[in-house]
Amino acid sequence: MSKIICQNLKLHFVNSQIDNGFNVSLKNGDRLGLLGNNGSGKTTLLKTIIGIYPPLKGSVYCEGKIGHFMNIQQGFRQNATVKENIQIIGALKKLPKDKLDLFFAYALKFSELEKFSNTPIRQLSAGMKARLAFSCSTFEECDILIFDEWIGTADKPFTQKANLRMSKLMENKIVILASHNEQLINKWCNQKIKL
Amino acid sequence: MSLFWVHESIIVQLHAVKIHHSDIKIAFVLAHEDLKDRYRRSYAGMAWIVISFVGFFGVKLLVFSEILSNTKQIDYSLWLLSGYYAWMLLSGLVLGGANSFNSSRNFILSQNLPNWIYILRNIIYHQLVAIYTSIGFFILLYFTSFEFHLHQILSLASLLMLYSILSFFWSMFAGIVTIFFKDFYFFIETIMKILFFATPIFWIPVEGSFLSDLNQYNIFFHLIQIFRMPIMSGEIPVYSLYFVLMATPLFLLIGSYTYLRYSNKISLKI
Repeated sequence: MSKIICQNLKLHFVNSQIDNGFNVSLKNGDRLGLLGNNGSGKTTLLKTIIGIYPPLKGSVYCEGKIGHFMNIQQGFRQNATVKENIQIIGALKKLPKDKLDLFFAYALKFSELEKFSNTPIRQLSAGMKARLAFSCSTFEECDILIFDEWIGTADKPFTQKANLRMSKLMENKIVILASHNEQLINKWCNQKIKL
Repeated sequence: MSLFWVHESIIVQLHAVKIHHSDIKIAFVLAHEDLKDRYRRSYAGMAWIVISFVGFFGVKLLVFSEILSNTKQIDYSLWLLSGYYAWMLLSGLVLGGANSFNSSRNFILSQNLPNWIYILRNIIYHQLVAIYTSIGFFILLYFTSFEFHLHQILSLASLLMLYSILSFFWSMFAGIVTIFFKDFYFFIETIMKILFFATPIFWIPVEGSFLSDLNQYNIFFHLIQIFRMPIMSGEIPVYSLYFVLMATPLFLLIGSYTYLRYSNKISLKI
């Protein structure tokens, strides 16, 4: 049983904060949508939940393995090849050796970039990078899934494939999705909060 | 700030410092990629490390053996080679240490990894550079009066270890201070440029002179001496060794305190 509990949580860098702080309690099956304009603190809240930022006030308690889909492209080495980038991400995910090979094969196949395995990342289109980022992020099943926006730049066939994969991964998990797209939130979430 | 708060904070941070094999692997993978990335698309690749070291050494030897008059007393090429090699290692670790978190900004803001991984990443990076530099060092050493002895090679290995330990604590302090005050990095960079000339790397100190006396308080001089003397004469410079051993706990204390107290603010300030 996994859970997330935020109590009176106040964030760094965010000017307009809820008076008593952000309070939420999530358990398996809860899918929370965070709606808000640019600068409203969605990403900061997600980063605080993940543990990248410490809370300004209040507390965050997470139980369960967290998988996040945030800024993975930021970690790409632009001059390194697709293959090398997958290896780095595999190491960051702390995958054991036997799983690393599976991860490598999955990421290349799912992103449909087998032919580009020796191509430097900087030569890929934005959509191809998004596909690779998504594939690297969705290899493992996690208890808690955190998304900052959806796969924006990938093409329609890949987005459909990604949606299917996400539906499978989301089953009975805690999901937090931050977006300014209300339709997207309504489609994927069963709770929503406007920041 | 209460004493209780400091105690609590230290307990929390100590828990985070718990070392896992997978974390060390991450640091190694990142450091190796940093090095590959630096020389990617170049024909000579990492051989540039060796070429640059040998080239700099050659020019320095030519220029300074002409200028310095008192080089007849000792094997100047061995003096310069050992000093320059040790300095290259030290300056890389010092400057890299001060920049360890800044250079890992993207990872710090997108991954929830323990911050010490980025310090280790920097140290491993410089160790890898040191391995390549060592190729040039040993090639050049062959042409000097140096005679290989096992204990000298062992002292080189243990020195690399000592440099890395000191560098780890230095990075804990300097890496964090640089995040809060960017000027600190430029300050250290300037100091290192000054010390390159003020430390007896290519010049030989005359006993009793002002510069020679001043260098008794220069930790870089002692760190270089620990490396240089066993190579030059097979002796261990006891005073320099004491000096470094006395300074090590100080580094440990200041580095650990800074890290435990402020490392939770790294992602906010970077």
